Amino acid sequence: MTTDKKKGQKKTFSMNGAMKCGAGIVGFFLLVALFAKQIAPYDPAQMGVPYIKPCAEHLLGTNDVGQDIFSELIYGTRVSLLIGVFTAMVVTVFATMLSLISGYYKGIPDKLITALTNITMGLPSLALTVLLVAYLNPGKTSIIISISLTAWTGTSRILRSRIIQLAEMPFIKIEKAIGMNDFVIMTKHLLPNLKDIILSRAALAVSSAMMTEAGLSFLGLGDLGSKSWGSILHYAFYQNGVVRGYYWWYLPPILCTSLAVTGFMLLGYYGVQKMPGGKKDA
Amino acid sequence: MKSTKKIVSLLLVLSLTAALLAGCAGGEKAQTSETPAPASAGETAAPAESGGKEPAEPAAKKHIKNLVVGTTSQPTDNSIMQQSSAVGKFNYNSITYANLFYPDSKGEMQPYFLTSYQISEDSKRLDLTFPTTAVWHDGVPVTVDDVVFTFEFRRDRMKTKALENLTEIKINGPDSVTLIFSEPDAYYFVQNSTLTTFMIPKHIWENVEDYTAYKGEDAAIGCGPYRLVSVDKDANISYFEAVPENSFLGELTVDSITLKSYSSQDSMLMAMANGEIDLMYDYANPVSNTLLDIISGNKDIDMGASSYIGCNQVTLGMDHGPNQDHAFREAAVKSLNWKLICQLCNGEYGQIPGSGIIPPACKGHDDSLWKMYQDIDEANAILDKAGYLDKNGDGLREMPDGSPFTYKVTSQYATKKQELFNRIAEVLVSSLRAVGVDAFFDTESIASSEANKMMLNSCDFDMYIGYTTSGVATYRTAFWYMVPRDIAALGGAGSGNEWGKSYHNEELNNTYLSLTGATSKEEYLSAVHKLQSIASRELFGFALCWEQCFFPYRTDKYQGFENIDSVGVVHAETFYTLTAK
Repeated sequence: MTTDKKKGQKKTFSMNGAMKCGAGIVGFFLLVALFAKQIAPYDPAQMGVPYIKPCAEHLLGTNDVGQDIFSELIYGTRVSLLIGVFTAMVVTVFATMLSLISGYYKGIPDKLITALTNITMGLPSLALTVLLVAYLNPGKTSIIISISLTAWTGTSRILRSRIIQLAEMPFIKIEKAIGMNDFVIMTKHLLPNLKDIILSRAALAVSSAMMTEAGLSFLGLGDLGSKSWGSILHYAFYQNGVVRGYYWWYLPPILCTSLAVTGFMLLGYYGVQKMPGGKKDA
Repeated sequence: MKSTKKIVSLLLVLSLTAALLAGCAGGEKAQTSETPAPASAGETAAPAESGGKEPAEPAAKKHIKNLVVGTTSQPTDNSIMQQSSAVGKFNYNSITYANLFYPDSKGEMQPYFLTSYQISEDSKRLDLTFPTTAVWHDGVPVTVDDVVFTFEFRRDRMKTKALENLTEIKINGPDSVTLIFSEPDAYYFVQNSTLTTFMIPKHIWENVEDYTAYKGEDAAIGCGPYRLVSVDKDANISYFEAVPENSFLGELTVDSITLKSYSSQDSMLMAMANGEIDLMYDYANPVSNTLLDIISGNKDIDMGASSYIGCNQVTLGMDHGPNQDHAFREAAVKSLNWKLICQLCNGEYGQIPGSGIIPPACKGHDDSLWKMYQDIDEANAILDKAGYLDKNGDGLREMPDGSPFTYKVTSQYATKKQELFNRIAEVLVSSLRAVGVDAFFDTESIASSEANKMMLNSCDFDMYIGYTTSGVATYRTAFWYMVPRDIAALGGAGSGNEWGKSYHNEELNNTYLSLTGATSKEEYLSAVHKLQSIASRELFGFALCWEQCFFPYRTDKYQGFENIDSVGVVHAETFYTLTAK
């Protein structure tokens, strides 16, 4: 089965334009984040003359405390991506673990985990996230934890149904019959067959987390000590940048967030495009 | 011939009679035209005009039928005892309740509900007279019993510190009482009765156990010049109508008031630009300079600019770390980027403050004290000379004994000002780090009001950003926040934040006590001068900016505005002076 999939993957990979486009966008932002120090013309914390309009020295002008907005934007890529990727990792790992236990063992563990998933799904996630961030000590860790707490449910539910499907397949039943260790079955046989769903859901989780982080920072609940796209937007709005027509201040972070989110969403088509016939499976 | 004469004479008599009758008829008409026309569908009532050679009577004021005021506070509570809601804050101007006094444009206390007051020379006796014609809004007359009840309630139930030494309330008649104090508190009581020392109806509050929690419909009843008619909580609008019996400063020229609450200042200003509101009132919350662009091109709107008596300020933690050393404090102050701080606080209108803290618009301001300035070289030199050197080569200075130190910058937990404080903190940290001080912004202490309180209680800060409202600045000054609470409270100031807990300077404390214990304007001004001098010398705190404030208002329909420093055009006198054009 694994071999067949590899063949199929090669065949569809070249046709996956959306994914290529997504990979290009994400790759661009990754490079910006990695080489922020080399690309940024100024230290984003360095203060100078406030409210300079875009010019040769400051491509996107300066903010209310004279910091170069272009440099802020470049360094902001790091924070936004960091929170997005880490949150996606936490969410995906947690959801995968729960769904493996739930889908493979069934019975009481399944009922308990399904109940937990249903309850969590019923919670107003954004409100809960805002509440948690407001009450936890401010910082990136708090944001990651707060977003992750409710973001795992979708992935968990999809994976569970796929695992239940896979668990009924002969190759798994044979492994069980010959007395193979459950952990080995899960890691060697189930996980490789869930890879596509996990990766596409992880890509979507990154974009979702980035959006939430931007929203939280915009509301002033982000990490005060660091630059993120949301925090740039927050101060642009706080200083009434829209009313005053400072589009060079508030538009770039909006565009960057939208572009990066789109990139990760396109990357999420990876799993879809790999399905036979290109039909969406999950 | 004779008959012709008779006929002519008869005709003359008839014509004279007819002319006389016509003349009489014309006089009546003219008289009719002098009576005021009823208010039309518009906002105003027509004026009465005098004509002919009759001696001109004083021109009747052109009333405003409905004045629409905007605010950003919400109408959550209507009780006269609550000041947190839109109605409560609006009441500072004596709306549903009647303050005993009000500050005029020069800051002098004038009687409002009272007809007169007299402070004895030793400041232990306060003679008050008041009208006997005023009524509570439920129709009950205001009597001397209510006056006595008001003072007893304030002393015994509200625990007003300025009245704690009130030993006797002597009734002199139906319109006069005398307050007898065991200490010289009368002057301080009067000077501090700016916003919330109002008359309390005995028949409503004498049986209420918890006055802070009482929310009955009659909780909104006062004897102010306006009665609260209704509150539309869905639309966030409060409606008031004039009570002519309670027009304490003369004729009320505003017949009714509509108070509209907006979620933010920008939406309120847009409403003003569109003509939905006539003016704004936001206690101690002037319009941000960043929003002035919304109205700057509108010829019908006046910015309402004036000097602000409140200020954003920093209090230093004086009981630990390098702040105990004057040289370090001086270097810290001279390292700060004052231009940027002022730009943040007040845009192009901000003025770099003087070392005496209190702004120019405050009573007793001393302009001769040195002004703040940034000089990195000088700051570095002071630190070097005082022994704060970078001994381990990490780019950060150590204490003179070689031990490392960090410098915590934090701020007041203030919902409306938090972003500004965060930004100011960033500038302070950046400036201090530029001279090698390991400064950091403590974000944990602003995560919640509880965390903030804990930090303050333990004096766990080096620089604390806070602000003085215009109400406190009027008499108590910014120093109220910079002395220990027991000192501030001794003067009758009540409780407050524990910002000044870490500093124990006997000279400062005694001077503040002489301010609160002043029995005359001269004593008060002398104390204010001395406080500024101590602040300039000791640098235990400093103002961040001296600001201009903006309370915009429309000028196309009404006239008679008086823009008072820090207050704007809505104040106690507004509803007696404002007239339609």
